[in-house]
Amino acid sequence: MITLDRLTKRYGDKTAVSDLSFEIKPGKVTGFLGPNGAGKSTTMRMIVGLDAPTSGRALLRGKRYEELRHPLREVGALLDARAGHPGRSAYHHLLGMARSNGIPASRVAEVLETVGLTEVAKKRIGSFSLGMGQRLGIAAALLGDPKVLLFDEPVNGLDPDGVRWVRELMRSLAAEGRTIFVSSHLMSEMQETADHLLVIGRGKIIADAPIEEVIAGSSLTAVRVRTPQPDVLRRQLLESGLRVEPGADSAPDELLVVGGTLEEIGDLAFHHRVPIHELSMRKASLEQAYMELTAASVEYGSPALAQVTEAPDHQKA
Amino acid sequence: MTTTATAPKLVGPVKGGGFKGAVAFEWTKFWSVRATWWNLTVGLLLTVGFAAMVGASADASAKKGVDVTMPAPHHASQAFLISQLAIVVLATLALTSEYSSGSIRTTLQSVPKRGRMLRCKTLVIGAVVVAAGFVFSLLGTLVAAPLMGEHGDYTGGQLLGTALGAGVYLGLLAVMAIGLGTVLRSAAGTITTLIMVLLALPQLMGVVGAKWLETASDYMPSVAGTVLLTQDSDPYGGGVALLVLVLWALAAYVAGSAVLRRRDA
Repeated sequence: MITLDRLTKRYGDKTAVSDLSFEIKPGKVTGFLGPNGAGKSTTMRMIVGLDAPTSGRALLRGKRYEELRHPLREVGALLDARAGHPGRSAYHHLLGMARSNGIPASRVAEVLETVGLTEVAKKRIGSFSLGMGQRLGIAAALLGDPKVLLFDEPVNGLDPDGVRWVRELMRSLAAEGRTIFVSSHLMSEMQETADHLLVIGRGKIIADAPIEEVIAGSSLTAVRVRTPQPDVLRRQLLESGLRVEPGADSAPDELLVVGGTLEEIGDLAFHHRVPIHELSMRKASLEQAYMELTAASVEYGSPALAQVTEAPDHQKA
Repeated sequence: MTTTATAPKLVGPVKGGGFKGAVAFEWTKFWSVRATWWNLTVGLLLTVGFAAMVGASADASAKKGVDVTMPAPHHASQAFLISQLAIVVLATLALTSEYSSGSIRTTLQSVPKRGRMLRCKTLVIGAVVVAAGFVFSLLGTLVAAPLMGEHGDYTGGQLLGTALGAGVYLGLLAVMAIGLGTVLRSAAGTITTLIMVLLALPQLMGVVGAKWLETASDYMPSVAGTVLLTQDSDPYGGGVALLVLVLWALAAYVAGSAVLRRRDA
């Protein structure tokens, strides 16, 4: 369990993380999403005590990270693939960590085996590819068999096999009752992996909800209806307070209804004796839901996009 | 690459860690990079090589009738003027490479108490350097003495005194390098600053001509180091020399420690 209590980080007059409060619960994969510069990495760094919060606290089972006697046994973190001396072997990198936390040396071979680096254990880290660096970082996170795991962009540089492996690993770690907190910019990956989502933009929470809820909340999640009497049905739907959009141009008999369930719309059509040829759910992808959520808070968007989204603020600037 | 999607369990009692764990961690890191071995080897070769050179040149001068009588350990310790730089580089790199490689994140995740981390790192590096200085000095004397012949006669006390002095001087230099490296987080900046302080500044301060600068130059670390190496009593004795060096090391260490606590890693 990770508890953030009004966590805030400012660099000069720039606020990177603003008053974040939330709990990350065990037994689930919590996805941490947000545009570049939204404060994801800073938040993770504050959880493990690398950055000091300007105000507020990040607690792990009620304690600050530096109060943990054996931190690696409680919290494993992959924050950056570049976390070892390039001249040191993977084995010695992990051996030093193990010794610092009273973890038996035999554990090093075990985690190297888990991440598939046994054969290059004696090789210098500097000769590793980005993907191998990520695997080493995951091995380091697993070293102390911790209850809480943080992964910042874990699939960076991994091949498709590796991506699938990380996904299965995180699912199985969560199934064992651990707390998994993972950031990623790959929405398709998150859609497969996460149970719960935490979306931040400009250092603030935009959404904190189960992934299903986030997707259901998208305007692109809609019920598609095909009917020979679209105008009649549209009027009835609007009267009952639902939002109706035209379907595809090539299909004049199609309506897209936002905010209603299949049952409601089916019943409504039945009540007004409008024949229905098709009634189906169109689910937004996580990517679409995410884009809508963060449209207003893109920090480093392309100039054209930024102009559109920041237009209301333009006069202030 | 073969992988498994489940992680093995860690069984057995939770013990260890803490201060002892942090020392073991720093020890493992120190000896598992080549820079350590390189710098110790270079330090040894420079000490022994220069000791041989000054020994041989003393003998040559004596043949021309110049009085060169000086105990061999004291004469040979001139070699440390050069070889101390290998120790400076060794200690500096052990600290600054943590920042240049990003391994400081791993280090502080493993030992989040920053004061403890720096104490243990300093302890490990300092202890190794004290031992290295002691051995370098002994070997330097053993090489220089036969070349100097009777001009270099020395006592066992002088041999041991110089070796201890070398260990303490280099050990405190290493602490200075670690402290300064923690403040600057850059190998180039730290090494340049220390070369200035150790070699260039004492010379410059002497030639300017201001009396107070000349007096101040007596309290530069390399001057105090020379007193320790040669059991000299000019400009002050061994006790003051030790105090001067400890103060330099302490100042750098306290500054480094303060920066480490306050700045994000």
